[in-house]
Amino acid sequence: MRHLSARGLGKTLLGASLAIAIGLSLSACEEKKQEEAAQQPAQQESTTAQPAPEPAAPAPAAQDTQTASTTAPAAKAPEGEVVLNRGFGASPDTLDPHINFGAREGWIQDDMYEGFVAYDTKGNIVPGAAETWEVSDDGLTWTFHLRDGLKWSNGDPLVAQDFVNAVIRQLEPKTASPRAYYFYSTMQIVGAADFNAKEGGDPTTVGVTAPDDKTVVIKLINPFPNMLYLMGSYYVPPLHKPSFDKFGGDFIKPENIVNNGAYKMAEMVPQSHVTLVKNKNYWGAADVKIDKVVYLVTEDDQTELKRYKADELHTTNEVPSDQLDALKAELGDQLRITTYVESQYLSFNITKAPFDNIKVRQAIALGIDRQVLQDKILKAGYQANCGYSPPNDPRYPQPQVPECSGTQAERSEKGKALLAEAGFGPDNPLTLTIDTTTDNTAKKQSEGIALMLKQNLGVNAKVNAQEFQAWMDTFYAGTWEILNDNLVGDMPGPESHLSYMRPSAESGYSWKNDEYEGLMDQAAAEADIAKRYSMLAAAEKVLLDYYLVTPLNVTTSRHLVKPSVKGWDDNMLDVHPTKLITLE
Amino acid sequence: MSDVPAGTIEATLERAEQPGLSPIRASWRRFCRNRLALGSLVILGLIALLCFAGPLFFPYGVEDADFENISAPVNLFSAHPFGTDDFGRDLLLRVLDGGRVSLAVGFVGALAAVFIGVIYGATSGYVGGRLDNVLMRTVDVLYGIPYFFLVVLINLLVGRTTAGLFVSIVVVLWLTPAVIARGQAVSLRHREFVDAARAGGMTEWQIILQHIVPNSLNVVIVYSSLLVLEVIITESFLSFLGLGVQAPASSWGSLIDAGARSIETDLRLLLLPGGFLVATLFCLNFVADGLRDAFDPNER
Amino acid sequence: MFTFAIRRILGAIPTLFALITISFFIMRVAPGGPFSTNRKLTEAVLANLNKAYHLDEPLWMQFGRYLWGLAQFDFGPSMKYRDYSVTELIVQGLPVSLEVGFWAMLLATMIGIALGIAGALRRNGATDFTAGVVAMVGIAVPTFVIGPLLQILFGLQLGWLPVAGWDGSWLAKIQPVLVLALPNIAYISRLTRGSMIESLRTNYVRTARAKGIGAQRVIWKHALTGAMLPVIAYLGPATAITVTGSVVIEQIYGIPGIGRYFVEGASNRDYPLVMGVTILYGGIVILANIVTDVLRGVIDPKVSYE
Repeated sequence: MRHLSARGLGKTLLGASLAIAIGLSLSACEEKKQEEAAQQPAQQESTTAQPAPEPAAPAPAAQDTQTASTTAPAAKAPEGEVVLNRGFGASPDTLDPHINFGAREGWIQDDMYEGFVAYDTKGNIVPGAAETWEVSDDGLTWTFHLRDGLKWSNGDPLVAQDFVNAVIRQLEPKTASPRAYYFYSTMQIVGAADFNAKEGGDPTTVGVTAPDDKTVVIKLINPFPNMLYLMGSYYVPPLHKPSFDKFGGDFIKPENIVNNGAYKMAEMVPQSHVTLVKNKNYWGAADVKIDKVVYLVTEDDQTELKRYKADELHTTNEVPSDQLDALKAELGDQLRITTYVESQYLSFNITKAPFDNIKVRQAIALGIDRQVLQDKILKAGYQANCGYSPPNDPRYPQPQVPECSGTQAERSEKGKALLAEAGFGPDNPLTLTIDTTTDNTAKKQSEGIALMLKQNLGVNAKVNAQEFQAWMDTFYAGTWEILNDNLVGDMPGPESHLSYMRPSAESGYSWKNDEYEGLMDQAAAEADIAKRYSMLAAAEKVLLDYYLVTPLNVTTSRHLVKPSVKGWDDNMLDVHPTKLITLE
Repeated sequence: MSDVPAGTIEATLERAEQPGLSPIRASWRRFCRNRLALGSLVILGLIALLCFAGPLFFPYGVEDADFENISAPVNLFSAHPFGTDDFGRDLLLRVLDGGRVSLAVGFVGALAAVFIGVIYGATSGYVGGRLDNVLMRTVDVLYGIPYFFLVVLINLLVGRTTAGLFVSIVVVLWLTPAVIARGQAVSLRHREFVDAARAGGMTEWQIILQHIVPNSLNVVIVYSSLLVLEVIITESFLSFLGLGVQAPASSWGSLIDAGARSIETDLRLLLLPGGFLVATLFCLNFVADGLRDAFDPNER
Repeated sequence: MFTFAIRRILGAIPTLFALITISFFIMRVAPGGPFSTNRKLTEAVLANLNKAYHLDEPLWMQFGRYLWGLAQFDFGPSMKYRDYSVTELIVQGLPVSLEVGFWAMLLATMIGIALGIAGALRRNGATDFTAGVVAMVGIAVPTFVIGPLLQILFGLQLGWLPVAGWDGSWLAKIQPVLVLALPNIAYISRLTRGSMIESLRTNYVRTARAKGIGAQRVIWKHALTGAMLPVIAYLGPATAITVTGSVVIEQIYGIPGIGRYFVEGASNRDYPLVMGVTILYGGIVILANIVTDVLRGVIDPKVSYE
């Protein structure tokens, strides 16, 4: 028996390894035919569609394995082609520039399209497709003058009407674009709201016009001093009407696309990567040093980190927050942590007892040690915030909440006293639930707060983590008590945050305050920035004094950037156009 | 001492009636002779004891966070022998406390899944015909239904309770045991002993329960020991959906998931719960092997 | 056997239909919709979006519309990835998942069966123990722990393999295939071992040995065929699950397969995408179970087709 079994086993394993070896070498041969000679670091090329060779793996749907986007690159890469590999995060939702609502997709959009203005490496506004612009004295009319000789990537001349068409498309009801509100709410363009409200409106009633091929005039209902932040590639990417008319929604596919930015799309493989190559017809093409940029889908930030370390990526989209300390020590300057236009706060459901009692809200606000929460527990590089909006505009005199002063011991005393006044104490502890999403950092923050509230105030706090849709549903249904909340601003400054709390924004908070509304209306009509900002500050104070929310932090954007990458500067908007980057 | 002549039927029957030789006892005796299995059983018992009774011996609770001592390293002589986690809570206590949920849900869940699956599959396979067709096509459909939404539905019906968690986990795990058991039953239903049993007057149910199921027992035992990890992982997956164990409570699944994210920075967070889990599963497997050996009908 | 297979394939149609119907309606039980992902959407925009995708119509009408589309092999647009139709997403992702899954199952089956037999033949010996430990790594250590560990070892420290990514090279396939195979190796080897042990002890094997048929033939013909039955039964659903992609593996290794659509599609409420992969997966499960039933008939001479 013994030698038989050994032989038998040996035979089986030998047979298995042979089969596997043959199989692998077969597939390796196939791959070799389609592999490009890799001269550059980790070129992520097209996926190879291998037909399943064995009937044991039934594949009813995959008969046709030739798909449009798996074009095997034919020739060797030209010598000296400079390729930048950027980690992108989760797969892009859509790259249709007039429908896309994601900030990350906006990076790709920024490489492919150019609006009136562009950004330099520090996030400052510089001329883009428009060379100059001016605004009327009453702040209601903006005029943009386009450069000479602008072309689309296919050589067609780029004219002012293309920009007008972009705005119209975003406002048209049938586009169902989530971005329409930028044009009738954030900046209030004449006629935009009505045009968006029902089908079949007349585009000429909208206050965006092109009196000639090189001029675009925008008319507003109310002045909007921060207008320029909304005039970039993210908001007004021009529309190439001929290809849109011909291909409809498919006009953004690589084989059809026509764009005006520094790069053209070469390839788009869902869940894998998006490849862009230099656009020769871009007016500034001479200064663009990166020939090809590959945005790689990196869903898992841990894997992205490993890929970065293995030199498969030049930059990352994110950095795992629990490893920031270790990475700072290990990689030094490669770790870039920058304040972002997002603030996080706890929202209170003021329609639900006992959170309708301001004393209870105040007590909870006092029970949180914001510094410890950010520095010791969360360690995500976020910064404790003492106001509602992110304090990223130095011109804005932001009010601060009193919960940021004093020691935690003092605050806990005050908090406990307030809770006692509201009827809660050791024999009648307050119980509450913090609703959060299942995002790791959000969960961690909520857990930390729950533990703090228990320690500092004796509150029985639980955390309820739900996936995003269920969380939103809980919010809108009003069955929540406390929400781990956040908001990303559309531009620097407090305005997007403060407008969001107005009933007109339909954000779902059941808060209406006449004083707040009055101040916000006043600010909206004010063209002078200093005066506008002081009115906004007064409004924010009203909000904070009401304890509708209690501030927690300002988030940061976190990236790892290889030393060879130049032209990537930290900035609050987190914009890093590829056309400004060089590789050393 | 009997005065019935040896070698006769009466003698055999008399011997069979004596307590020490009942099948269960005989199997148990066989099990105990397997030292690896017995030792593993003892270790399992110890782990269970630690998890359920251990936390009572700690001077602090699971929710007591020491913000000054976050991520303290292993220091066997300090207040936190195995250090603290990233909230400053004692790591060992978290692992033990998490073990309560994981062990309970893991074992009971795996057993329930296999139990349901085997009865379902054995009946289906043995009876055959149209019943078999309907039952197995139902299994096919259940395999296909998107799990995420199934869980949402269950939670709507049962509520976000432990029962709901349990049902959500078991509802898909019983399917593969059913398929396997059915396969066994289809093969077994043509064997001679089944015909003999039927000829001897057993009802179909009796045959299923006393012959088909026990003959699948070997596969059953092995498969249920494999399922425990799946149950624990499914539980941690469900916590991503906001179901399952909610913070600040813990389970081995969520601890290991958090630990896996810290492999490069703090291996301790993975090793402690992971070590417990691996030890439990290893022991479980040896016990399962031992049980299978002990209860093998062909050994009798 | 042929008529049996035909009958089963025909029987798949009502099964698939039941699956489609149940899945279609069960999806609407979850709160939220595909477009409520951003809190800045106003009612008006939401209404527009829902209208464009017919989500404002009564459910039975939407279902009818969907069935009509199916009859024309149109699985609808993805509501989340608005640049693609469901068909495009599946056609691009399925070959990738299939490839990884196929190699993983092949590896797992060969190694698993070999280990299981070795363990059964040399019970409680050193071989059995080693085989058991290898197998048990697959059942005791979750893939989301093994994966990153291997990535660190092979990708970062040794630099032999890429950390992640799918660039078509076979090097990039090694890790995901390995990690995906491991739990299956564990299951298959444990099942094989257990049923092989039992099979070796059964009466007909004893009888065969007693009759004096060559010992090796005894093992390989009689015991093995009996032992393979539960393994084959397991392989049916296991193959279906593996070849349609593992969410964890695809996320960790950045593989553009369809595995993630099962989970992401659900959390995004991308109804057409979920329906598409559900139908695909259901079809594969049904097919796999038919194949295993047929195989059982081939292997076990006592099984008859009623």
